Amino acid sequence: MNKEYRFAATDGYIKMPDGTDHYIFGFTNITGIPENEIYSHRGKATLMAPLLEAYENDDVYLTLTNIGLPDRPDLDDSHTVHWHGFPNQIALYDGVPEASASVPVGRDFGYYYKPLNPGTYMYHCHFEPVEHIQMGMVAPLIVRPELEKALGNDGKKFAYNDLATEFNREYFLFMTELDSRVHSQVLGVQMFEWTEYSPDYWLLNGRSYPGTVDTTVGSYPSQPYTGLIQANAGEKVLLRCINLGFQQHSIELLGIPLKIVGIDAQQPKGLNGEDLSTFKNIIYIGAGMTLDVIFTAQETGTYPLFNRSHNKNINPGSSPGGMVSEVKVYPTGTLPPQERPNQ
Amino acid sequence: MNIIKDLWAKLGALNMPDGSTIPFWGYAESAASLPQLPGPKIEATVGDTIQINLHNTLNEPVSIIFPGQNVVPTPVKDANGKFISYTAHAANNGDAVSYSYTSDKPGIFLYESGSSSERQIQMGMYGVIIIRPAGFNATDASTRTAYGANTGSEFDIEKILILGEIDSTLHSKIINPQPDDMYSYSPDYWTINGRSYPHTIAADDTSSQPSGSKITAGQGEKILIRCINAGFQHHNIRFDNLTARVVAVDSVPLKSNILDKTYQKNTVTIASGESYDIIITINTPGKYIIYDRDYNHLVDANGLSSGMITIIEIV
Amino acid sequence: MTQTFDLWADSGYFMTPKGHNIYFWGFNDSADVSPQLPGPTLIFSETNEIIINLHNNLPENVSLLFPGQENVQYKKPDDTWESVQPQFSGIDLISLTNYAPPGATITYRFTATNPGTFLYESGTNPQKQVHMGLYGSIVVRPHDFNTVKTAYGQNTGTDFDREYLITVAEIDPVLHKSVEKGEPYNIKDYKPRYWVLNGRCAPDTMLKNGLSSLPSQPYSGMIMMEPGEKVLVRYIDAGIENHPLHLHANHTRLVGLDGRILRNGSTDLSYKRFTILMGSGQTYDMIFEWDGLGYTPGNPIPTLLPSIRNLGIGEPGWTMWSGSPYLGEKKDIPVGVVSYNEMGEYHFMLHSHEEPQITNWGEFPGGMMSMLMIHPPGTLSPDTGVIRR
Repeated sequence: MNKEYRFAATDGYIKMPDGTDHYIFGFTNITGIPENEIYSHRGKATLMAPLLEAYENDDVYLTLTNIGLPDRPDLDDSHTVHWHGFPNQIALYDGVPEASASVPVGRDFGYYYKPLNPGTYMYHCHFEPVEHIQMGMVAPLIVRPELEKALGNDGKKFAYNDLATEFNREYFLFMTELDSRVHSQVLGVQMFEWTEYSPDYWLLNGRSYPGTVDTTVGSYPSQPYTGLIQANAGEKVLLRCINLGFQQHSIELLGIPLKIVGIDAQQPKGLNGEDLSTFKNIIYIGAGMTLDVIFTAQETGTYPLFNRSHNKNINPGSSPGGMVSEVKVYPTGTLPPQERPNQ
Repeated sequence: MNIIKDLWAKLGALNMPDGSTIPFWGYAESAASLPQLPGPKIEATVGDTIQINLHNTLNEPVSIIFPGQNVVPTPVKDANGKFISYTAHAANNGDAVSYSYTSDKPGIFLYESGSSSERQIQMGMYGVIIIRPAGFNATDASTRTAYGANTGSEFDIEKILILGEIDSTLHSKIINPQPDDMYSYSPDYWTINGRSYPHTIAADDTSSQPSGSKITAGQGEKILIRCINAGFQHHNIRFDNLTARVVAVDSVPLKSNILDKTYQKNTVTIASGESYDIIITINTPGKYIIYDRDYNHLVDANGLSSGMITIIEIV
Repeated sequence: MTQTFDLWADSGYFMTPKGHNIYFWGFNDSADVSPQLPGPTLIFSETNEIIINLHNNLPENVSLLFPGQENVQYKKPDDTWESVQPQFSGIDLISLTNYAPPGATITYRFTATNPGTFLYESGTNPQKQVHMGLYGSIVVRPHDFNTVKTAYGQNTGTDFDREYLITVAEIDPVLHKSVEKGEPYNIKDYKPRYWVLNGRCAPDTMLKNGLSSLPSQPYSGMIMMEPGEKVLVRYIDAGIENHPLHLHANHTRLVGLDGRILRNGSTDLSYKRFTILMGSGQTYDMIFEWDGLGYTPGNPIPTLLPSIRNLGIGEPGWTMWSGSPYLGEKKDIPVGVVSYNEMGEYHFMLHSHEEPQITNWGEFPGGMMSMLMIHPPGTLSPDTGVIRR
């Protein structure tokens, strides 16, 4: 199947629960937008950037259009898309400007991918990556298994081509940090000294607690995903954990055991198919890693989810904040089936 | 069996090898006794019912969470729906709260503060619960295992190493109290069982830091080392030049009847909240050092040799 | 058999890509030359007896730790051997093992019982000496290495065609300056500004081995291979930070940790990753393979390549790209851009994903970063990808 996307690279603003706004670079989805309307999407970057998803063996055509940074008109940076973890990649589509091509302001570039392995990946801009990643050009990427299309599995969802990876609902836990000094200095045309990186906000899906559990429509217009995880009792929930920050994180869900079924878009399996999946209490994840975790919702209630490094569960002057969220379990049949991730 | 434990959340003082005294919050076993770092060890067997009665003597809510165990949390929220505590709390000085659950799997687990955890855990409000497998008998070699039969966890000697950090400046600020400043979190003492080297190798005592961590074993004995990280940083625990076998991670045994996933390591990264059960056998008499390979954690506030170091002595 | 090595601990200077000389302490295997960063790679054969003479030319006690080697002994003044022991002054721990005082020599002995990748480093004031550069790498060859090239022996799934060693660490220049000037330094203030891969900061990591312009940093950080080959990559974290190293282009299969194979009998415990979160003081052995997606001019990419006029190419003034989507083909790149592409090879990045670490004191590109080069079939010498001292 052909899967076509068109993303625009531009800038925008996100907000934190303390009411502060922060300048970002990012992507926005302009798939199907008429050519003469594209520039109306300037300044509309979101954090996370738009989800890229496909089935294995799809032909994925992704056009990246650089529509510039309206609040930094002097800065004519190029951008790229790097599919982080794509197996057997060729240099042209790897998005590393030093080893292939980047997309200058006002230009398009067409990336082509034929994903052969299901799993959780990420994509990000690889142009001056320390700046462009911190500024927000980061997003999740899902490759779905063909098992879902196979006869007899109609409507069932799987993380991998393995019946043991069936799930009912899926959620991202997309981890980044934000050093507000970087964002204000980039907006103010100043140079940040990167070895001084010291974040003051820790984000799940682009938001800081209690923003992570704020389901009010329109409350976070540039941060479309909450971090709230909801399920009916008895359902299996897939957490797609992705770290595109610059720190290591230790995520804990209180009261529910977590089964690791994927790491870096691979089922943990030995050379002879040995099943190396395991239960964990802590999801320890380094920058540039992904983990797929499944749990079964049991007793109804509210289960806190947080970073075990609790010093990251703060906002300036208040706590809890940062990387805190909730898993809400409802009586069987309460929630309708999930139509898209993080719904 | 029913295990009933009363714990008092209290202010106390820690004595460090450089002579400094650091205020801390910990758990005491009675209203009159000293709070401890780490909190009193709680031991039970799979199937036991554990009841913990927490008494608050501090001027803010306190609670205890049980990560990794089958305890359904009952969070307490404020009027805006924000967490005050991740589970039921004792709101005020003089209040108490009780927790009760039935242990369902063996292992080593943290119990720790679920209220203002970013402040209270680093202030010292953490301890461990050890759940023994069914049929465990410490004096019977055939049942002396961490995780039961066929899990590769038989042992002769057992030592628990609870890793922690102390930011002494933050401790002083919090008890004064001054506005918290978790952004500046920057530990200056690194501890095993609440002590920094060389206090780590001193004998157990009745102080607020009652547990030493020196291991004494005979040649060829199976030493089970149970590392659990109560700090907010990760630590890279190295076993001298030795090679140890990891038998469980987060209290999930790696060996079963059908698959042996245990593996060998010299140094083990232990992230915040993780636990590693390790078995090591040493044939040559002498002293062996266990230390954090993050060498900047082997010092005290003055930069002198101290911190997260302990010793195995083979006699 | 016995293998004997001599190592001298001494002071010297290494260079940043901007040409700044930084004072460091390191090892070399000759008394006559300044030390190198990392120290010389020591290659042992499994079952051999290993003897290492450490000569201390530094102003304080120095020692060697051999994590993962069993039953390490040292030679006493009466020429008898005794197991190494931590050294105390009263209760103070002054060294993790037996040491050589300034001007003296200590001899260590052990048997290389296990194939794999290991670290050696000073065990004396390690919070200062290891950061100063007193570390190096050990490779132990399996006993049947002359029959077939493997990391852990025949029939262990660790066969390889080429191999590379990647040793990483951090540099706090204030620590180095303090030691050079003899001034006090509190390790609590540790704040790295450079991150090194094989002792070099990018882009110097991409230069060749043994350059006269980098006399103290002889080891390149480049990985070079041809499609379809098996490449053994050995990672060592000699720093005190954990580093998530991300290799583009494909997954790697992790087959060994700390010099022990991930295997119990016939049970294989190896697994695939695209990022390896390296822990301080630990080693990781991986098999990497890449065979591409089969694109050739006869089986073209299924989209049009835009005109190079519409692409950003070589914005820093240079590029490693060939101008073509195809392996082994060179095409136009814009005038004025220097191309480092030789024969249409592909370049993929290898870097820490804690991205401030791919800067040199804040300036990108730099730090803990290098490249994987995939050469067209038949163009890479068999001498490439052989680990030497």
